[in-house]
Parts: sequence; structure tokens; C-alpha cells
Amino acid sequence: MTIDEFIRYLDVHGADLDRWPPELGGAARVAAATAEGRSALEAARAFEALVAESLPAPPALGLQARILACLEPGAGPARPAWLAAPRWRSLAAVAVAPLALGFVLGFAWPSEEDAFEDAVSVLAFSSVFEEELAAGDGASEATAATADGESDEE
Amino acid sequence: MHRIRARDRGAFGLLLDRHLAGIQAYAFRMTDNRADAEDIAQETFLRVWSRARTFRPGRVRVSTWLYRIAHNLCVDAFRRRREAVEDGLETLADERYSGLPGSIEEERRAAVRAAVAELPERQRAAVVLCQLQGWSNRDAAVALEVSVDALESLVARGRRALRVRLEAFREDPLVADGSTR
Repeated sequence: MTIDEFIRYLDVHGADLDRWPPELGGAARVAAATAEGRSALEAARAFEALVAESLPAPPALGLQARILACLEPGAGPARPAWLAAPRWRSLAAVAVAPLALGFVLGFAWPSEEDAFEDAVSVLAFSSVFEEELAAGDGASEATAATADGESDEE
Repeated sequence: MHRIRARDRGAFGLLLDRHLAGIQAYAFRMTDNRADAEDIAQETFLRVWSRARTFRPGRVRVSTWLYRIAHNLCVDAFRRRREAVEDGLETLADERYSGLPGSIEEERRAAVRAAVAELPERQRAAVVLCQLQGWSNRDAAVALEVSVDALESLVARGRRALRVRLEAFREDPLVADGSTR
């Protein structure tokens, strides 16, 4: 392991060499024994100590009792509103509800336009159906193919 | 966990004993706000209680599940804070940016906390879990739902960004010694 690699790994695995992956541990200790490696390791340790002492774990005064109290039957909602009811959920519900309603209504009741198209179809093809009935099966197949937009010249 | 699923409060108390301080510390280090950290820790455990049936024992460890819930709540807190700032309901000023005169040590701590808070959320989470909470890269990757390679990249970039931001303090011999003016 070169010194550059050692320094790069310090950023990935931290300054506690005991926590490094076993396959890197031996080479890391060799690198750390050099002057440059030792200096890099000390700088990394100082940096980690600086961050750790600036963000100490806060004391959990009474928090455990408060959480347990929330489990009691009839305990009121002790949760802040932003945690109990995320805003996006209510917004999403408001946005989706009209869409769902429109979808249901659209399928439940045919529109006037649909009814009009049905009437036109009946009027347009009623004579065709009558001819089919009169002419028999052969004529009926040819007529149906034409009505579907297919050519008779296949 | 199966005892908690059976609504055993004693087992839930043991879970609190074991993990509450760590979860609260994680939330505090992520949000840099004690009140938010307490709320997040409380909500994490209440969700565990109410959703214990959804826990799949073979897939993740209990601690990983807890931190995953807490992390998602932290992300919600960031979003809420951003929205509040955008709506003009809140400013970013809190105890960290109070501007009150203090010792050089206090200033240094404030600078470190500000530098950590300025990291992108994922980098911050990776640095906090691996460097401050003592998690292995592998466990942190599972908690944050990223690959180990991605996690290691996040940790490395986060640490480098922090070092750059704190360079001035490291070069100041008074600060480096931790002495006061």
C-alpha cells in the first residue's frame, strides 16, 4: 500500500486501524509506521476528535418515560404535527381524489357524445345488416371485410 | 422483537434501553437541533411499536431498521425546515448561529457543527453513522439502503468536504491546541 493509498483509505475507513477490513489492516500498519503515514494518521485522529467533541450525544432526560407514557391506553397524541401527519400525504389526497372521482363517473355513465356515436352507427350500418341478412353468408363476409377497412383485392 | 410484536412493554423497554441514546444522538447529529432530535427519537420508537408486525427478522437487524426509520424522519425534518424557511416561517438561525460571544472552543464547536450541517444529507448520514456512531461501512450501507461502494464514496467525500471547511481551524495553533484566548 502506497502512502497515497493509505491516505485515501483513511478517508474511507477512518483513523482507527482496528476497524479497517482485515485484508487492508496489515498493509495499513506498515504504511502507518512511516513518517508520512504516521503524520497522516495523527491528522486523521485529530480531525475525528474535533468532530466528535463538537457533536456529543445529548442526554436523554425523561425521553424514555415520555415514550412509554405514549403507549398507555388513552394517551393523547404527543407527536409533533409534522411527524404525525406529513403534509405531502394530505396534499396528495387532495390531488388524487378528484381524479379518482372523475374516473369512476366516466365509466359509470356514458357521455352524450358516446350515445350520439352509437345512434349514428346504428343508422349508418342498419342497411348493411339488412343486406347481409338478405344476401346470405358469402355476401356477409365480403361486406364485413369492407366495413373493417380491408380491401377486397387481396 | 417477536415479544414487541406481541405487545410486550417490558421488551419494548429493553429496546429503548439499548437503542434510544444512539438514535437520539444520531438524530441530533443529523439535525443539529435537540428538540427535533427528541421528537425524531420518540417517533422512531412509536413507529416500531405500532409497526412491529411489518418487521422481517431475517432481512435486516433491529438496529438497522431503527436507524432507517430515524434517518427517514431526519429527511422529513430537513424538508419541513426547508419549506418553513421558504415560507418565511422560520430562519436558519438557531442556537448554532446565535452569534453570542463565547470561548474559542465554543466557536470551534459551532464551526464544526455548521460544517457538518452543510454537508449534503447522504454524506452527512454516512459520516455520522461511520465516524460518530461507530458503525461499520457495511452496516451503514444497509441502514441507508445504498451499496457498500456508494457508502464508502459518501464517507470519503463527506470527510474531505469537512476537512476543507475546517482547514482554517486546524491551521490556527490556538484552536489546534484547544486553548482559549
